[in-house]
Amino acid sequence: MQDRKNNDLKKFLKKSVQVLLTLVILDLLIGGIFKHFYFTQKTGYLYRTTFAIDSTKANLLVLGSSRAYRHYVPAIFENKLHTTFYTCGRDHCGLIYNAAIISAILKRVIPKYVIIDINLNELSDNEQDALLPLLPYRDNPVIYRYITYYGKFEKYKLISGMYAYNSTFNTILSAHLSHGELGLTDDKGYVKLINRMAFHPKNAFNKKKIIYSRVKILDDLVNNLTQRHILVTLVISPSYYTFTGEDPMVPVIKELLHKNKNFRFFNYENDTAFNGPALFSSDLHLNEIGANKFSEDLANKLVTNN
Amino acid sequence: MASCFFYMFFVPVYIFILLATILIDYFAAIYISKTEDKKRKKRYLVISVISTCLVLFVFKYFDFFNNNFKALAGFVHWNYPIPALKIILPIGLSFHTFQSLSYVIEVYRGNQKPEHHFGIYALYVMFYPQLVAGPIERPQNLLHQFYEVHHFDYDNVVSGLQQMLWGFFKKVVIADRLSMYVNTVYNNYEYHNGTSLFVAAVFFSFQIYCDFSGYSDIAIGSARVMGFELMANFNRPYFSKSVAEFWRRWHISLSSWFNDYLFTPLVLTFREWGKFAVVFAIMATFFISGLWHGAGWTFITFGVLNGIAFVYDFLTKKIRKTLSKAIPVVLYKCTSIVFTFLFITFSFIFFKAGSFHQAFGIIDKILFQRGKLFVADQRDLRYAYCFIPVLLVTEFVQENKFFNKFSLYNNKYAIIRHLTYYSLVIIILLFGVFDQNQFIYFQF
Repeated sequence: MQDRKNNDLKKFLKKSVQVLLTLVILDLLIGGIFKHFYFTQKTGYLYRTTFAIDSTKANLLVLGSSRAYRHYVPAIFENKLHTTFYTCGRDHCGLIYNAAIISAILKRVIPKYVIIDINLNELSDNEQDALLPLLPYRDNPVIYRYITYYGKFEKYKLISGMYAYNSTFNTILSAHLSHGELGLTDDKGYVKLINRMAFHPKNAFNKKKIIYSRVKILDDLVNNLTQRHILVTLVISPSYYTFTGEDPMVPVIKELLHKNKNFRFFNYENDTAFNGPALFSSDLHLNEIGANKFSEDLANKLVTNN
Repeated sequence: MASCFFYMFFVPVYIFILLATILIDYFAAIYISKTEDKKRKKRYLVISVISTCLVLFVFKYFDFFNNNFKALAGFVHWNYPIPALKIILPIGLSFHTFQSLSYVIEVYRGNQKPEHHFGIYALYVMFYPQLVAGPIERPQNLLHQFYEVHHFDYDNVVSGLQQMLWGFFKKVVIADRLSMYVNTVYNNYEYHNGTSLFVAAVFFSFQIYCDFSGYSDIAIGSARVMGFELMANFNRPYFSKSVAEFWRRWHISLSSWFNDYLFTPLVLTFREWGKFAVVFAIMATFFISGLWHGAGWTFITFGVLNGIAFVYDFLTKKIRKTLSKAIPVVLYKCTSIVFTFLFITFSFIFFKAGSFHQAFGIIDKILFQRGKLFVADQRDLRYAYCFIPVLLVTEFVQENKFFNKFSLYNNKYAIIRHLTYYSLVIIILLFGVFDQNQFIYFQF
C-alpha cells in the first residue's frame, strides 16, 4: 500500500514537472509571438494606444474613453490653437487607464495642453477592465507601477507571457489583415461616426453617487499635469440626455478648480446647442456633424481662455 | 480550519450564523436519535427545521415578505410600521441550510446515525469545496468519508485536476465572457431590439450553465484531489428532451433534495387524490424551488413556469410517446431538445430580469421587434461563437457512447490528453475574463 502510494506520488510529481515545463515553454513561445504581432500593428485601437505611449509628440493630448476619440476633430483644434494634436481615448477606459497612459507619455515629452474628457458617471463607476488594456505594456515601468498598484494579483498573473495579451487575439488579427478598413483607420486618434442616431432613449440617464476613491484618482491626475505647467481642461462632452438638478460631479470638480491654477472645466451637459438626433450617432456619442460642431465650440473656448 | 477561513474570507462575522445552524442541527439530531417516542422525535425535527429555516428566512426572505405586506397594507391605507432589515445575505446560506436540513431529516428517518463528533459534523456542513454553492450533499455520501484515511491516489488527483481545468474553462472563458454581452443588453433592455435580446437570453442560458456547472466542476474536482467524492451536480442538461428530464440533469443535488424531502412526501401524503396529488406536488415543489433561488416574484415565476411545463410533461407522456413513434427518432429527439432549450431560455428571462416589467418588456421585444444585432465589443460575440460550440461538441461526445472513444480528456494516447490540457490552459490565459466576477449561485 505504502509502495503504491509512493509510486503514485513519484509518478504524479514527475508528470507535473513535465506538464509545467511544457506550459512554461509554450507560454514563453506564444507570449513572444503575441508580443511581436501586437507591437507590429499599424492600425486599430491597440496600435493607437502603443503610438500614444511610445511615439506621439503632440502638444495637445486628449484623454478619455470612446467619447474622447469620437468627439474631438484634430484639424479644428490644430487650426484654432496652432498646435499639434493627438487623442489617446479608448473604448470603456476611464481615469486609471488615462492616468497610466499620460504618466508614460510624460516620461518622454511634456505637452502644452491636456484635455480630459470624462464620462457622465466617471466619478461613480468603477473601472472593471481598467488594467486589461495596459497589460501588454508591462515592460514600461510607469505602466507596470499602475498595473500592480490597482491590480491585487496582477503581479503574479503577469508571470505568464500569454496573459498580457488576454483578449487581444482577434483585434491583432483584424489589424494585420484589414489593410485600413473603416473603423480601424484614424486621424491622429480621431475616428469619426457617420451614422445618425436611430433610437431615442426612453429613460433618463441615471446619475450615481460619487465614489471618493475615484475623485482621488482624478485629483492626482490633475495635480500630476498642472505641476508640470500643463494647461488641463476637464470636459463633459455632449450627450443626448437632458439632466434635471445638479450633476453630483460638478461640486467636486469645482473644488478641484479652486486648488489648481492651470485647470479649466467645460460642462456640455444640458447644452441646448447640442440637442436633437442629427448631431448624435448614439445616446453618448456625437456623429461627425456633432463632433465638428462641438470641436469648433470647445476650440473657440480654449482660444478665448488661453 | 481551512473551511472556516474560506467562509470568513467574505464576511467574517457571518461565521456565527453558520455556527448557529450547525449547533441547532447537531443537537437536534442527537436528541432525535436518543428518544424512542415518535411524537418527541417529530417535535425535535420540527424545532430543528423551523429554527434552521428561520435563519434563512431572516436573512433571505424577511425583506421580500415585509415589502409585500407593506404593499398590501398600502392598498387598504394602513400605515405599515415594520421597516426592512436590508441585511447582506451570507454567502451560500441556502446551500448549507439545505445540507444541514438533509442531515436532520435523514437522522429522523433512521437512514443516518447522528454524528457525535462536533468537528466532523461541522465539517460536513462547511466542507469548503462545496460550502458556498453546493453540490448539496447527503450525510450518507459525505460523513463517512471524513473518517476514512485518504491516501494519495494518482488517478483521483489527475481526474480531479482535469475536472477543475474544465470548470475553469467554462467559468472564465464562456460564462464570464457571455456575461459581458448579457449584462450590457439586459441592463439597458429598453434600448435594444428583439434580436439582441433573444441572443442575450440564449447567451444567458449558457452563461448560467457554465457559471454554475463550472463552479461544481471546480468543487467536485478539488474535493477529488483530496480524496473526497462529491455527488455530480450537472449531467449535460441542454441535451434534455423534456423539462422533466432537464430537472433531472440540472442542479441534480437540489432537484434530488426537493424530490426526497418535499415532492415524494407530498405525493405520499395526498396519494388519495390520484394524478392531482402529483400535479399539486410538482407545483408546490417548483414554487418553493423558485423561492429558494431568490426572494422575488420573478424567481417564483421562474419556478412556477417550470412547474407548469413539468406538469405538461407528466400529463402528456403517453400522447408524446405515441407521437414519437410516428416521427423519425433523430428528428423527434432534435426537436425535443431544441424546444426544451427554448423553453428553459424563456423561463430564465424571469430568473435574470430584475422585475416583471423588465421581463415582459424583454419578451415583448423578442416577439415583436426585429432588428440588427447589437455589438458592443466584437470580441465577446466572436469568442462566444467560437467557444459555445466547443462546449456543445464536448458534451455531445460525452453524451453519446459511440463517440466516447474520441474523448480528448480520457483518450488512450497520452499525447492527446496532454495537448488537451495545454490547449485549455492557453485558451484560459488568452481568452478568459479575469475581472473577478463572482459565481452567480453564490448569491443564493
